[in-house]
Amino acid sequence: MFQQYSLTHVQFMIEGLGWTVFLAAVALVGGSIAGAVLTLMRVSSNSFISRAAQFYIFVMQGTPLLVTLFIAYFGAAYLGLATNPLMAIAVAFSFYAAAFLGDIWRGAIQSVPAGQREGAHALGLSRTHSMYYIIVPQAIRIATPPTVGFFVQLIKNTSLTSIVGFTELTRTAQIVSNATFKPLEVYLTAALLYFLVCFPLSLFSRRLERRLAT
Amino acid sequence: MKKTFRNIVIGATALVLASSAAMAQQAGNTLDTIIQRGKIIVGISLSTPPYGMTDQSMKPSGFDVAIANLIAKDLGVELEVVDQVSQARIPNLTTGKVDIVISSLGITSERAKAIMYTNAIYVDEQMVIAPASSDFKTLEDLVGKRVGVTRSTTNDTILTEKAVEGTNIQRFDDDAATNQALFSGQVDAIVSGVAAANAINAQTDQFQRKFAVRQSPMGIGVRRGDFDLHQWLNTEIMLLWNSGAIQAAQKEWLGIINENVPRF
Repeated sequence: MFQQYSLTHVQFMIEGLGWTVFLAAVALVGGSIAGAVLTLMRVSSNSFISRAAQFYIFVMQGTPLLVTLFIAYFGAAYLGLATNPLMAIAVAFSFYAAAFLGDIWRGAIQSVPAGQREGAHALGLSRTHSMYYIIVPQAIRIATPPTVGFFVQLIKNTSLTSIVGFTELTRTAQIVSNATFKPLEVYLTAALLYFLVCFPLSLFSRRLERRLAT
Repeated sequence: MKKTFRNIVIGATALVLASSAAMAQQAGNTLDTIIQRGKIIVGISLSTPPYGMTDQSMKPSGFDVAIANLIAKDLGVELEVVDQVSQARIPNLTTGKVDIVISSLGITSERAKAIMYTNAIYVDEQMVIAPASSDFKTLEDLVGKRVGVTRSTTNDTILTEKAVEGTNIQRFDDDAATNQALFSGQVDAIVSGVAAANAINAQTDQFQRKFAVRQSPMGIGVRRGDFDLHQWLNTEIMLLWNSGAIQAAQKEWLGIINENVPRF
């Protein structure tokens, strides 16, 4: 009844890896857009908008992603909204990523020395222009390492999506490990596959940082 | 501007209410839906061998899949297996993600508050499995020992309920992890079903069944209020039992045949 751990299994796990990468991409794009909006809200001079964004960040950072996923998938269904897993995952991950990216990017913008802002002001640049030409280019360099670090974490967090019935890398590893009863070998393979995706991203971040520094 | 916003809110609320009304209407005639759709969607955990697992070509197989195939054949519809983790079995059913759940679903009064069960398709025995050298005869012997069990299973429920104070219960995500904890000595014993015990014995003879904790009948999960589908499934189970098809599937996948299964 039990199978030998074979290439067929690895192939099955690579299919799962495809979904993992796809989910991560959805989360990155959705999270970046929502995160950019949150960042702008956080640095807004309107204190109501800024507080609202801060409240959102507190709530999302303080709740586990697993719970957010559960609410987006099963909770929406209880309300009578038809959710397919992909939609629920995209929504939950984007909301989650936005809370972290919003905060990371806000910090980066605020850590640009005040003299830069004052200088831009003295040159007669408007708030929007000084943000666009002076502050943001410098903030991007500061924000790159924590942003990429968070992206890498996000890729690994996609393993949670098996709870809503998504067969991504971790779920395929679970299935294979139960069919072969070789958990150690199977999970090591899964770890290697995750590494193969995350490591180039870290390298890319290193290079990007160096390029932005010059 | 304000008016537009109000209209959107009203529209969204109406949509939610309308769709929940549609869902409420839908519950109760899943049988018709399945026949019209030409497909039955069955929730099965594919990481619970030998009930739900994958074969050499990574297709669903196992006892639960065999039963699902028999049911789909007699309904005259296609079978779609939805893989699920064991914690998602009941939420998937109650939120309409699947039509029925055939997923080594032990019958408990607690679960029966949330879903309806058909008659049993298999009666498992939950037992304590431990290294051959250890001497466990009753649950009292497990005090101060680490006992592994798979989370969200009836094995977990029964152990949590019956374990004597001082037993160190450790919960794992699936059977492979629970078994591995036993193999590697992370736990002193595990509570598992007969099929899992057979699986362990197929690998090694260092571990033995020590004593049975309880009998656990397993049924098919149906949404509450789905009486037509429930009745059809019970009829089907009776017919499959009389023709010997259920027993054949038990023999093939679980290695034992129940003399009888409870009907209620």
